[in-house]
Amino acid sequence: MMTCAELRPLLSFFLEKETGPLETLEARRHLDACPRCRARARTMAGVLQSCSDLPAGPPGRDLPGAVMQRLRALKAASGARGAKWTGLALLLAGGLGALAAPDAPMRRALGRPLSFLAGLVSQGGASERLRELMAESAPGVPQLVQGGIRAGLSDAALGMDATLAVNLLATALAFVLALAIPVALVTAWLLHRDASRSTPLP
Amino acid sequence: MAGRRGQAAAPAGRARQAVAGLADEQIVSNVLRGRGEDFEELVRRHQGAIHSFLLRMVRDPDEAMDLSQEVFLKVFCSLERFDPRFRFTTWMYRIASNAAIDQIRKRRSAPVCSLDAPADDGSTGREVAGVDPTPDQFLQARETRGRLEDAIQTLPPEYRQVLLLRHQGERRYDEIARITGLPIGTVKNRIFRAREILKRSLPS
Repeated sequence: MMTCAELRPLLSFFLEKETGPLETLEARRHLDACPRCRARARTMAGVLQSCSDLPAGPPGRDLPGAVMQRLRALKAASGARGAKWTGLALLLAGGLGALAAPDAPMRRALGRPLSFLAGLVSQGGASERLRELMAESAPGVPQLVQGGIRAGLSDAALGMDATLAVNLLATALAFVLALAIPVALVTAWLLHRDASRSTPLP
Repeated sequence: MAGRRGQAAAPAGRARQAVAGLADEQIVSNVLRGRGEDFEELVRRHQGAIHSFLLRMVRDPDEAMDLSQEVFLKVFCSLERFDPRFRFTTWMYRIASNAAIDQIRKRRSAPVCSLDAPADDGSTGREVAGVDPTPDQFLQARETRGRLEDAIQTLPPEYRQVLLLRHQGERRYDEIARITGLPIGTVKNRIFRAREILKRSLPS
């Protein structure tokens, strides 16, 4: 038969009907035979009853109102963040458009670096192609180059290297921009996605 | 003007009534589908239990109120992670329980505040809920409850947590184990010890 020491840790669970069939049977047998444990069981039943009677009611202040107000504030903040990122994305997209458009002023300002590079690669004859491009983008330079040639100086000695360097720099800048803009757009999208929660705010 | 307001309030009232009849899990599903305002019903439904649990855990009414708000915000923000195979209340108690334990860890040496001590506003005590006292048993019930509240507050937080989850949250032992992340044997052991402490503090 179960002893008092064995019953003690089981007693409250027995009273809650949370013991297994065998333990329940053993506990019942012991309680029938042990007045001390019966008294202990009565006290424990009182404790359980008091614990179950612990009051639980709404707090004094309007908790649902306060929670919903904070959720709406979160939504407003999230909207402002979204607008900021959308603005940035639009700005970057505008920049990309300005660079990509065939007759865009920015592209002209860069001396058509992409077509320059493409021309160099596809046609060869860097010097001829360069003169052609320079005639389009910077009319003063060919005259300068011609003047230099007439003076017995080579293309390379007079400004050709400088012009080539400027065009290469512009090309590199265009590539960096062309690469940076999609990267910035993707980053902005990722940040915006993380910032705005998935659960729709009220 | 008042008539128009009344007309607008009527559908809102009907919508609230419709939501009030739904199970927690259905409301969660509504909220996730874009009906965020339905979340208010979940707060309304569980505010008493959660606030009382947190109040008994942190023992400070203002702190409990702030923590209750934080818990419901956390619940809302984590709704996507809720697994509908389990009960919503179990999951919610897990969040509340973790928040309470974190809060207690933050301020280990906070002074004890008795739920039955006179409140600042001069009222008789910090009642956590409306009680319906029967005239003849009022004093005895009040005394017993006061002793019990005090005894609960003297329990170590980890004992208090499981005891309140069992008796106030009315969680099953396996649910408490899931909420606290403890083995069920440890949960039962802690509850046994907590009850022994309470038994010694109450008149036999």
